[in-house]
Amino acid sequence: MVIARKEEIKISHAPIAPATAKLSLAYVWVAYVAFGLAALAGMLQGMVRGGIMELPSWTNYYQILTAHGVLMALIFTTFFIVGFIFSGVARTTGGALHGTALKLGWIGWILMVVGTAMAVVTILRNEASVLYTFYAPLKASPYFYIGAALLVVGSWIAGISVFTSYRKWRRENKGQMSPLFLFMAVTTYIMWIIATLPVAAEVLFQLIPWSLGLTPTINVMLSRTLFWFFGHPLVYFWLMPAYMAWYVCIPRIIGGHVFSDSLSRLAFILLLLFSIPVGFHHQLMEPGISAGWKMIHVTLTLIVVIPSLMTAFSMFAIFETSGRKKGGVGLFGWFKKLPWTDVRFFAPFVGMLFFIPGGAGGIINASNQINAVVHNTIWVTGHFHITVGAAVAMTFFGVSFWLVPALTGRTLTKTANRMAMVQTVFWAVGMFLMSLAMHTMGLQGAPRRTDYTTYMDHPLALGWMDYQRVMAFGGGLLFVSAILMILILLYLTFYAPKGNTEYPIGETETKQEVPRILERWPVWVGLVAFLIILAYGYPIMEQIQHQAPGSPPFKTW
Amino acid sequence: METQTNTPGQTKKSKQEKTQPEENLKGTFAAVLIVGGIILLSWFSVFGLFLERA
Ligand code: HEM
Ligand SMILES: [Cu+2]
Repeated sequence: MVIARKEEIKISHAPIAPATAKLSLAYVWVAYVAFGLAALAGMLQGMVRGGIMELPSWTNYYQILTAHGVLMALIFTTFFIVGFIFSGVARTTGGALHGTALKLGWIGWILMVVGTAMAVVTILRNEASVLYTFYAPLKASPYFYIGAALLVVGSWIAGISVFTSYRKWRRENKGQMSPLFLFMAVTTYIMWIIATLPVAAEVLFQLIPWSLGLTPTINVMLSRTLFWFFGHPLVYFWLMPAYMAWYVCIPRIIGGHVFSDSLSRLAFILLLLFSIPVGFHHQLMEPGISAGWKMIHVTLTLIVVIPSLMTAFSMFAIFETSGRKKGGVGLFGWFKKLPWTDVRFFAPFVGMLFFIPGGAGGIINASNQINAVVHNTIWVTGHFHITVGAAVAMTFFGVSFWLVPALTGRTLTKTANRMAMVQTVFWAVGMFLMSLAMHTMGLQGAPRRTDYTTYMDHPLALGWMDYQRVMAFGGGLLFVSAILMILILLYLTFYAPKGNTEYPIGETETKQEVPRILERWPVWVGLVAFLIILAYGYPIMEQIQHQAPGSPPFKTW
Repeated sequence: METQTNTPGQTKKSKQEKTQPEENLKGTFAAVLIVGGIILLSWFSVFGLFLERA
């Protein structure tokens, strides 16, 4: 208790030591620069598809679509996540990263920035319009793939940095359960490092030699399998940090408590176990994988419903207990007692609401038969805009509104809070309209990833045009919101009044015993390995042994 | 530290009081049922589309 008190006193000065704050801020700002460029591209895509404008002749739809996908899904997310996790790890282990961790943090940043620059330059030079999934046999410049590899390696080094902080904490606090945030950070990075190994193999051993012309053909099936081995856990790499904010930071922000320490940790362990051996649910239409293996992956996929509903339950429980303490009565009276005008709560909360249809849509996508209804339609694009584009992004916005001032030693003023509320509403309405239109069109068969076309005025396709325009309008609102977001962050970084901003870390109301097994990493990593071998061992071996004829590279643009 | 409260003004409970009084989580229960309902409703409506088109 005494230690906890002391920590509080230290925190009231500055939550994070300056050197660590600088590192975290450097990551967060790269994230938002990427975000701004990507938002511009996204808005243009909507306008083009809606038939409202045409792109100038020096660019084309698939070039900006690649820029949007890469900058949003790979750069914005990864940089923000790494920066946020560093800050939280520092905050829960005494306020600063130690020397080695800090150094590793900067090495990771440099590698990631160099990798990003390589990828962005090749995209801008129109040498890499392969979309963010970089599927073979579309071929990009080798520099694009090398850039992607550097991005991944940089994130590993950031992960190793977090592991060193964790080891140090364990050494200094023998016999104690680690802080919840730190535990979740470690789980997230274990998952990420395991999940990125195969995509690194795809890039290093398949794509780079092939794009350099060293190997004439590529095993397309294998490359797609290795990609989705990574592609699904990628979405959990976005979600888990958002859940960290939900489980650990939100309770403090609303003046409540972490509902259950064990439940939170168990949810993360389940996410670690079941986010990797499931990639075939993205390949349900592929002829090269048999139905039996698809079924195994689908079954493992659906297990993720459990930690997801555990999370939903925890969030409602946090809201209800804190709302009731503030005098909320009746079945839902507590709901009114939540801090609706505090954007630190409001933005992530709206994100959570989006996650309800998002999760429902995910179960639909992953079901083998009904996947046929939505596969490769723009429904899928609608799905991941409400999950990552709304639930995750709005949580990251909500975090940024306190994280950035906490890092710069400034404050979120009343006016800035109000502007942020406006930003949130624009983003929510924009996402709602855009993704509703995408979902509806998708169910009618409209494909994703397509430039403006009326399919020779086919009546069915003409019937989509109204929705295309709604989508464009939503994209316009989103773009306005993105600009507002960046203006607010500039203000919070350089101009807002100096002062102390809290770094919210929630705690349980009473001391809770947590089963020790939850922190026995060899057990969990062993189980992950077992599940991966079970789900992927035989199919991958088969894809290597019975190769279909490989494909030469194609450049379709 | 993480698992302990340090919010000022809160009564500190000792270890044997771990079994706290049952909290009222009726609203939470209703809310998760609603979420479950939304999931089932959307799944079956797209499954309906699948059957219609199959
Ligand atoms: C300003 C806000 C945004 C707008 C206007 C927007 C708009 C769009 C549109 C119109 C498409 C797709 C078109 C097509 O398939 O032809 C698209 C694709 C995509 N968006 Fe967004 N989006 C926004 C924000 C985001 C965010 C925040 C993320 C993720 C963090 C994201 C990730 C993606 C991805 C991964 C694709 C797929 C690219 C591909 O198919 O290769 N978007 N976006
Ligand atoms: Cu997936």
